[in-house]
Amino acid sequence: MNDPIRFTGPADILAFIPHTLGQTPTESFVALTMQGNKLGATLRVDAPFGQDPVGYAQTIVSYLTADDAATGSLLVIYTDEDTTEDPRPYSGHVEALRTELETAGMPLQDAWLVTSELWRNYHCMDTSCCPNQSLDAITTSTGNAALIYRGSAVTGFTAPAPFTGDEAAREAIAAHKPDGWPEDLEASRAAWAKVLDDPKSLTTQTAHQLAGALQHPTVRDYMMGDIITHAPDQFTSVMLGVFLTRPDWARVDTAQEVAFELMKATPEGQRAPMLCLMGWLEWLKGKSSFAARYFKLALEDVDGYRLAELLGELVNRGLLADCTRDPKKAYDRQLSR
Amino acid sequence: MADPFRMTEDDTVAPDASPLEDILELSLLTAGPITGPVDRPVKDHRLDEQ
Repeated sequence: MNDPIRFTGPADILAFIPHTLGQTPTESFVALTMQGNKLGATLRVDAPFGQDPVGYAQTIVSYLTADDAATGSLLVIYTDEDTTEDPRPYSGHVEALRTELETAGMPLQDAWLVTSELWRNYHCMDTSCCPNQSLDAITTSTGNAALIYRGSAVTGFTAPAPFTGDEAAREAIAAHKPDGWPEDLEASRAAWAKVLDDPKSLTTQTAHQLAGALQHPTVRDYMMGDIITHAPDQFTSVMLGVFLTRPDWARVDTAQEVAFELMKATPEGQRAPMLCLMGWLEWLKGKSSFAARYFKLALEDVDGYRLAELLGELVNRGLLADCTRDPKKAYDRQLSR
Repeated sequence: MADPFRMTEDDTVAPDASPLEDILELSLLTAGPITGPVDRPVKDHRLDEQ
């Protein structure tokens, strides 16, 4: 096993956050738990526009308490709020958060403010010891270099592939939409399983077959569930990210890659099921911001698409997949070194 | 005593019924207020020390 990366200063911590979230946050609070001198969980929530400070602080802490090894916490506020009058934006919320974190046994150890132009310590206003720093100090930090060296990249949101097929695709996909008979369901699930086991077997014809199958809501649901191997009576649990054991995350990554390929073969107006599938998988991985973007794209593709509406509401109400709370079951990135 | 429930053709599942949509609708009944998306990814285990 490789040695852990050693972070020696705030720039390293600030470099770590985009690597773990997949993008640099904006207008967000990011809280990190500390387990002694080690980093624990990372949590990103939207900045509290007009929200009650105590309620907001309690919500954040309720997510962090899943880390039962936490002994302390760090906070990073990403915002471009005007700081000319108040150099500490959201000071009421930060104070409430400090109190709640103290009560939860994970006292706030430090906090920083990151804008689109600079970063600095949130608490210390003495520029002789805590001056404004350029964002370059984050990108040139040793922590960032170490993360990149180990194969991590801040990839950002992966936009779905555009349709590259021909006019016949729409009709072909529509012809493959199942009627809903049990044998249709089983045939679609078998074709899906075959491609998940061997993604290279995907052809344009298979892509049309799978995209057609995904147009039927029930068949779509079962195909989504089949990505996570489970017993039939666990369907509800699996769809909500409640897993008995650690799922095969490599199979989840494969499913996302296959869905991405299906997008190339699927024209506008038929892409919403795949977009929902991709968003649901991001949600299972703990990346609700990316999930929300896929659900929005699904609604742009098919106005009022019910699954996208419901999944979108799920993430907008802050619901997390249960597996994200348990490091033994949650998705983790595989770095190369 | 009420008559026992008997399923009729009118009670069969609609052809486009979605089990997942039913599950989500039930989950949302007890969900909290709108907060926006919450991200909680898991770090790589080698990114450990400060």
